[in-house]
Amino acid sequence: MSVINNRKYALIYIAPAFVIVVLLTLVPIFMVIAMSMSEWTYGQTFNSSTFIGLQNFINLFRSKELLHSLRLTLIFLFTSVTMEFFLGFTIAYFLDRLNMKVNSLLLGLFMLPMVMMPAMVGTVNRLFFHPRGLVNFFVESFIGFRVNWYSAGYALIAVIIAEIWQWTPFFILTTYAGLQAIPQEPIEAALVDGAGSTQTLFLVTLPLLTPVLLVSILIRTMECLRNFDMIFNFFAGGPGNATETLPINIYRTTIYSRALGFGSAKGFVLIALMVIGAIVLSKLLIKYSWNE
Amino acid sequence: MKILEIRSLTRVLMGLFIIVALLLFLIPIFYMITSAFKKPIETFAYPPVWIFRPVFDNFIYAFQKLKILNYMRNSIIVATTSALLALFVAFPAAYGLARIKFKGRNKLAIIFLMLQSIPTIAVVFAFFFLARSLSLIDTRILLIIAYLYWGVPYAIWQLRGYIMSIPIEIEEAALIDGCNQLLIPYIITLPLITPGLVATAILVFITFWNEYVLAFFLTLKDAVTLPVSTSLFMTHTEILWGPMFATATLSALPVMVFVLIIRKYFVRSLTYGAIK
Repeated sequence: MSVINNRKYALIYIAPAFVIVVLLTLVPIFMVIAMSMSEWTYGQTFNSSTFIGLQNFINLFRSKELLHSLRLTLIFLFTSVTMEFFLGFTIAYFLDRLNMKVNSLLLGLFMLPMVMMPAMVGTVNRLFFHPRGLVNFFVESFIGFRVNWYSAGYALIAVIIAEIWQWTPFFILTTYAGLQAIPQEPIEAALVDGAGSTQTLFLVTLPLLTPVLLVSILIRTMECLRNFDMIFNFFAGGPGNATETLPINIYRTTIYSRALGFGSAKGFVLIALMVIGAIVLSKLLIKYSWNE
Repeated sequence: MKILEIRSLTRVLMGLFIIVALLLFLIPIFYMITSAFKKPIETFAYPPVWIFRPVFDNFIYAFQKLKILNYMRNSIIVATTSALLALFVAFPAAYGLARIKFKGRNKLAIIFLMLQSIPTIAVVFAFFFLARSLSLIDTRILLIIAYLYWGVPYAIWQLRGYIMSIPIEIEEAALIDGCNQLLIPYIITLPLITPGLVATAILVFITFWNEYVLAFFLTLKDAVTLPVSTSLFMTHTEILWGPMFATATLSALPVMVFVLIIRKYFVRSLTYGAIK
């Protein structure tokens, strides 16, 4: 029993942070919920808005464009996270197997894309993915023709490539850290027992890595779900609505269509999805790292 | 996995794979930085120009015409102040959550994580109305406060992990020696987690430095930060690619240096302490 364990201090320690965070988040969330039950044209006064109950949410289910952006969001996050995972895992696994002296330097270099401003990554990629840009230079050198990334059919692919470029290193780092941290005895035992390295990877190493991989995948999925900066500065949802993922759709509904109420209803859906993700994530985090 | 003897051919292939991957990740950054020193015609050349005589025109244009320095100053002030404030508020809370066993402390930690995960784009219009009613639109103080909504819960999770990884006995010994319990976190615990504290501060700083949505919607002219400068480069007649590369380079270099400083703690910082 610890003497530090004096409960009356818990309040003194935690209350200031709790009050600040709750004020900064719950007040806006309540406003979002209130606005989602109104019909309110963006730019007009609050008095001009009318209370319409759950009508916005009913309209949500009938809205084809919401379905479209949910579909895009799912394609975007599923493709990105899957590719990031496989690429990142492969690189990390190779680095771990090679066990070179320069590993830590290489990992340091792999970190660089991740800290770039997502808004700048989007803007810079506008030129890189220009029909006469850097990406097409490589594409043309390898497959002989240029791709029109600015067209509706390819824009989402360009966004996914940019996302994979920036965040594959996340999986390299987490997987590598995981590979370094898992106990070596089961792996050695499997090898001594005559298992091949592929068998060992799938039957021993991967199961041991599951917590690390699950946490990484969930964190990245959530970040993709709320990705606004990069896509907005890259294609701003266009051409047409080819890259209009849910966050961009919220922006367009609110600013272009000036439907503050409807936009807030969509915002509420996004918040709900993120909160569900956060609950699962916190369960994983507590289960795996703070088994108290 | 040192035990695995890898055949040399496999080693070479793995090495090649890593080199190619590394090039793919670094070439865009290299190209971005070098393009900042190109003349306009070279920036847009196809095939791309790799060797050229560096000029500083783009930087001069960005500083003189686009007043990038103002944006930078705002970014530095907002990100630094808000990061320090977030840590100041989060540290005692992290200590309480790490050290004091009370009912529902895990639930409280989960609530903090949930609030931290709220997507900014969904609440930014509410922030806008709140800020307008308080006449705070386009002020640095508004961004400094608004950023805390993410910074404080994030720092709590991070610091909680660092505090839990040091033995509690040192604090107990200090208490028996008569140290005031309210001061123990600051006198005893804080010095022991300095590296973690610095790493957390830097990661919060980087996130605020890169933050776009709140800055985009809540500032107009005076408090605009660097990420929002992206819209400056799209004029009615042309896109200012050169100055854009210069600004992108200037905004990336400080965080690149920072991340190399906290390299060892970076993974931990990205995963709420789950992966060390």
